[in-house]
Order: sequence, then C-alpha cells, then structure tokens
Amino acid sequence: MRSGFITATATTIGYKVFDSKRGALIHFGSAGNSVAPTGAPPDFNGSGNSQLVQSFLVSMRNVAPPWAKTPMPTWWKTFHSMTYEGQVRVNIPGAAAMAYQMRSTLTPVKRGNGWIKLRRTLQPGGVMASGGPTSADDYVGQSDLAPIGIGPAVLARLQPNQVIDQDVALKMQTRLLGRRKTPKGTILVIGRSNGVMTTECGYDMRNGMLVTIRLVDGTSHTDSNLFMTGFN
Amino acid sequence: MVAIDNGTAILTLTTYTILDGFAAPNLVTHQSLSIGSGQANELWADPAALLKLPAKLPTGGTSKRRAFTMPGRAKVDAVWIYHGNSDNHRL
Repeated sequence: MRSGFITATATTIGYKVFDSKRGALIHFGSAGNSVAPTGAPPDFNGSGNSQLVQSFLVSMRNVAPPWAKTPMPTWWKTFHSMTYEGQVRVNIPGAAAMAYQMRSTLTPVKRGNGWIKLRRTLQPGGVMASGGPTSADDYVGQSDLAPIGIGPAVLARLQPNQVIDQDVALKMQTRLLGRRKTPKGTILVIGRSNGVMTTECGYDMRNGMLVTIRLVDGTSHTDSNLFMTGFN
Repeated sequence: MVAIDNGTAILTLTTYTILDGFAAPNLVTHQSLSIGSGQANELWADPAALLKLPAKLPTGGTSKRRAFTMPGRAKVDAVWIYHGNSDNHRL
C-alpha cells in the first residue's frame, strides 16, 4: 500500500484539521516511513516501515464520572513524578511469545485548574531496549475516565459493578470492578473494556493514587502490567 | 452543547492505520481521546487563536483556512495545520 504517499526518506508528514467554530480536531492524517536497515538489498521485502494514518471525528460528548467535580487528592498539585514498572507480554498468533520490561515515568510540565500537562516517558527493556526511551506530552484532567488520581472520599463511595460510563461509539463500558487486597494495601480497580481493548486501573484507597495499570490490547496482542514504583 | 473547552468532553475518532513491512496489510483501530483541559492541545484549539494563525507557523509548519467535508456530513469551515514537508502531501 505504498501508492498515495511518498516513501523516499525517513520522515513523517502530517496535518490536522480543526473546526473553526468549536475548535475540535475533526480530522488528521500522517504518512511516515523509516529507511531500510543498513546493508539490506534494494528489493528487501518490508525494508523500512511505512505508515499511513487517517482519522475522522466520529462523535463528541460530555462525560461526567463521579469524581469529575469533586476535590482532587492533595498531592495532585505538588507531585514531581510518578514511575511505573512492569512487564509487557506480546503473544501474536503464529509467532513465538515474548516479553520485555517496561518503565513509564510521568512528569508534569505544566499545571492548570483541573488539568496537568504530563510528559510520559516510556523506557522498554530486554529485547526492546535498543529502541531507547520515547517521550510524548498529553493532558490529563479531573474528568478523565482513567485519571492518575481520584479523591479518596469518592473512591470510598463507589459501589461494586457501578457503571461509570458507557460509550456507544466505542462500545466501551467503564465500571468499578471491585476492591483487591495487595501487599501494599487495598486498591480499588476501575475497568474499561469493549472486548478488544481492556484497561484496568487500580487506585490506592488511602491517597487516591493510580498504583496499578493493566492494558490488554487485542489489536497489538499485548498484555501490559505496570505497578507504581516511585512517587515524589 | 458539548463543553469541549472545560475538560469534560470525549472525542472519538476512527483511525485507519495502514502499515507495510507487516504481515497484516491493514489495521483498523478505534480510539477515544479525552480532553484534559481547555488549553490548546492535540484535540482542541481555541477557535479565536485558530483564526489568527499565520500562514507560516513559527514551529515550521503552515496553516490554511479551508472548508472540510466530513464523510457523510456537511461541509464545515476549518483550519488546516500542516507539519513536516507539506509539499509532499498526497494523503
């Protein structure tokens, strides 16, 4: 599927289209490729990876999780970093299963009223270590369905199996999965799933911190388990 | 009215990703991206600021005001922002 975009050099080009009245991102596209491995023959099949992405806005709606308009945990405004470590398992049908270590660090680079701009740095280990760390910035907010923190008082009020959000477009349901005891205390797990992608976020009942993250992605055949190992 | 500038909205976009060098020629994914704030970010930009963008952006990209027609929907007034080498766009 090379036709339609240029694959001459290692580069990425792209565009974003914003609705001028609402400001919403309604469409974006990009094309990128990497150069062939050193020493590969000219007709090397799959030399370099080319990627074409096109995205269109499907829906837009307000969300109102129970913690949206409640006080955030006290550490929300002052923390310097959150570190998670764990393992990513890859199990692609027909291929040998593999696993590698992953370290994820969240560092606030800007704060506002109810939001934080976070720099997420991912550092894979093991067989994936040669790729080195990658970083990307994005915003987290008080109304996120899987926030980095939830006020302990709100956590205490959530009921088992309580449905927190239902996304029709994605067929994604967010609900409380229940409480789990860990060596470090009781956590409350909130899950999001549509059958293809499942996220489970565990929150420390004492301080509201996001302390465990599990992400099962049926598209990339990965199962990631991360645990908080550092906070300051 | 969806309040996308106060951090309570979710934008759902259907993303089509095509990769070569992989056994599967097509990956079709759906993603939901939530907005964390009213600040200019990847999913939302202040409309007033959008309309004031210069054609040549300080970051090296370019911007252009041009209508966009969503598939199956009406045409909307839009601002396009290009990154990278915009001369090569054939998307």
